[in-house]
Amino acid sequence: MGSTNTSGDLSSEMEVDAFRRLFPLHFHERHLLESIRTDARPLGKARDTSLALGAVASANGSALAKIGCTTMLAAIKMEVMTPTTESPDEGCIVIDFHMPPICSPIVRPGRPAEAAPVVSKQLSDTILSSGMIDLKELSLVSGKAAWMAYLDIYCLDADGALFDAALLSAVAAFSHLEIPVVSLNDDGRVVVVSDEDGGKLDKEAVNKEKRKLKLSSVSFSLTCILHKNYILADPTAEEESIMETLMTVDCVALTRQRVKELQKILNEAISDMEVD
Amino acid sequence: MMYSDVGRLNCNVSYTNFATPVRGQGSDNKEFSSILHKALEGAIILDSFPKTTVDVFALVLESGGSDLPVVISCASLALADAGIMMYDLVASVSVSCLGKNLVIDPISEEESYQDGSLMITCMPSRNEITQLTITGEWSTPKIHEAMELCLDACSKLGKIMRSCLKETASASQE
Repeated sequence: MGSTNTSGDLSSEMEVDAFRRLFPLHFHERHLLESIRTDARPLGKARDTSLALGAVASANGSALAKIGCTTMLAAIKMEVMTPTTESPDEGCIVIDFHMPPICSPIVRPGRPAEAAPVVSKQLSDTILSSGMIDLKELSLVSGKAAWMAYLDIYCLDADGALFDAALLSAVAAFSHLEIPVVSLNDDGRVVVVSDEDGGKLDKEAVNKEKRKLKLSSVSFSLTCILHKNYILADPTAEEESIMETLMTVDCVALTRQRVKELQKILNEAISDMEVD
Repeated sequence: MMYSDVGRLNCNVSYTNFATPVRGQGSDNKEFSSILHKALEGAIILDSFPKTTVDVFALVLESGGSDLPVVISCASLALADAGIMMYDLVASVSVSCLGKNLVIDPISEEESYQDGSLMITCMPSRNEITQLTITGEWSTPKIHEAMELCLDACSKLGKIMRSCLKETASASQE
């Protein structure tokens, strides 16, 4: 094909950066032929991942997750609400995913990112249906009061694999979450007890101490893209934009390895917090 | 878009849902964007980039009080990091008046009890003020005192900002 020949001829003449901008697909394919990617990663390897719990001091639970350059900040705020009549013993979780303009040059205040509602829906479905959180744990007084947990995830830097980083930060935020102490005030309404007057309670506290949620079946994810017959794990934004993106279950072996890695990182972050 | 022989500055300040103690209370952020714009436009050399728009987006992750001065100083550092030509860095500090006391860099609780607030945005090395915002009840001697306090703080902040940029620049050179 004419264009292949042109790029082939020019590649020996132009600088690497120019070639990368003008013929991105060929640039990446040249690397794939050597079984390596443009940032020197092997095909199945994910980027460096790090987690910091308690990033937002004023929230009930929070976490900052970084996968390579992709950064997500998740925070949970709890409010008391009346449960529905169909499920008087259950609380509620509301998940919101935002991509503010700082995360990427393609997002502008009047033009929200296409990826935002997609990731938001995927996150809601994954977290609520995986049974990671038992909603009955969020109940306070059956039929009268229950917790509403607002989980807000903000993308601070969008460099590919948004869903993975968002899910990781959400899971970490839930594992950091401490349910505040509440008591019934005179009107029979539940109020949050603040730390200062924790010593002098007129009414008995509904729950005696701050407790953490029990998380079962924690889920992690790995995004992969397929190009010709190469499977690339954890793509960057550049790779995602030039290759057809598929979230596939075929790369189960890669995912298993990654889950082990991520579980280790999460446990390390939690034990770091507990030492303090 | 019309051709423009000077650059354009576009500012946007927003709050996360968890920034304030009460969820979703993004406070007065509609004004903040235009205040940020006015604070920065005096310092940027707009002639150096015609036909171009510089977008400054600020996202407040957690609001602990005295938000706007922090946003302005941070935006100025970001512009310097991006290599946008400016006459000088912009440092900003605010002072609250609580009865007879002047409190510099107030926290949210102090701000809720304040009788008045004064915010100065200045270019420390050039000793020029790009913006002055005064609200509430002030007597003239108090204003003088507050302004001196702020200008002193701004010059100290300016030095710290400068050394921070130098560190990053020399680190990336290695």
